[in-house]
Amino acid sequence: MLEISVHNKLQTLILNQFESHKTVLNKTGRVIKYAALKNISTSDIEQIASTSDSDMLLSGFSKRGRKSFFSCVIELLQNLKIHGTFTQLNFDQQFCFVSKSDDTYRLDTFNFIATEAVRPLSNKLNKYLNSNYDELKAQYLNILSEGKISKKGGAGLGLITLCLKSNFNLTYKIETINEHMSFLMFSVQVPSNL
Amino acid sequence: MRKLIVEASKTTPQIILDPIKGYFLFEGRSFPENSKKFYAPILEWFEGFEPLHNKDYKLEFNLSYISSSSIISIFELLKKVHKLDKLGNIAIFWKHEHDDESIRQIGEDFTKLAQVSLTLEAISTS
Repeated sequence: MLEISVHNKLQTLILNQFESHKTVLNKTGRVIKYAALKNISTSDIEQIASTSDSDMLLSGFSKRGRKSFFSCVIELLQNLKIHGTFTQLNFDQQFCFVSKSDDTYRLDTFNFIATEAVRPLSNKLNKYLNSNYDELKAQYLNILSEGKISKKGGAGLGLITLCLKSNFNLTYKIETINEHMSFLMFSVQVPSNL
Repeated sequence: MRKLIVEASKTTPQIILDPIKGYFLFEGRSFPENSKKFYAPILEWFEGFEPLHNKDYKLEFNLSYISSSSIISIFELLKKVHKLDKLGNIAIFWKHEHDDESIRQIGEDFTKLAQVSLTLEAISTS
């Protein structure tokens, strides 16, 4: 009974965040190309990446920009698929938005995470985001040479790839709900002239 | 050793491992949900492969997109091939569209890290 009630609270919270995020994107003049509040599937990921790529081509984005955004979609949404279920309560809903302005294409994601995972994750992200290209590339090569892939299929290169491909246009926000639950939002964008 | 063919899907490449013809191909996009699981049978196939002394082999990669976890799996595969290639008769070709810096860069990273000799081959964009 208690679990159902917490589940409902999470459902309400994610729905509110989804609506408020949509309002912010609209207010800032971005055109929403894709929005979903669900358990993101592999087929969704492929569809979002391919559809965005076609639209970016029509909108005159550079090939480098298109390939970079494709990569960001795959890395961020696969990351969401692997880590986006709040396992303690088996809550598997996430949301994502793809939006565009005249000169940028952007992907935003939202999911719940365990509060105990917040510090290690933000330490890692801050380390990556405070590096320059050469430093981060060196870390990338180091992880690649170690070559470890987890059982879930993650390699530890995803976040670094996101930073490199977006030219460090990656931002994140973590809000702690209580000692058990927090939520994580990512935003990554690629300019048309990358 | 039997021939192995894996058909391409929207997220995985076509793979042809033909020991009789001496031709191995990876072509398409590689971003499976779980790259470790996807590439496990391929790595296993190479475990059992013994190149013949009097034969030349060609391993060709023509990939248009590779996810980060696929990069690790392919790197593992290249290290395995490098170990097998004691006679130096497996030539590896890494194709990339001439204006695709990211795929070319992955080939260069592999060369640097695994000391595998890859021939980088720029192809024209269709």
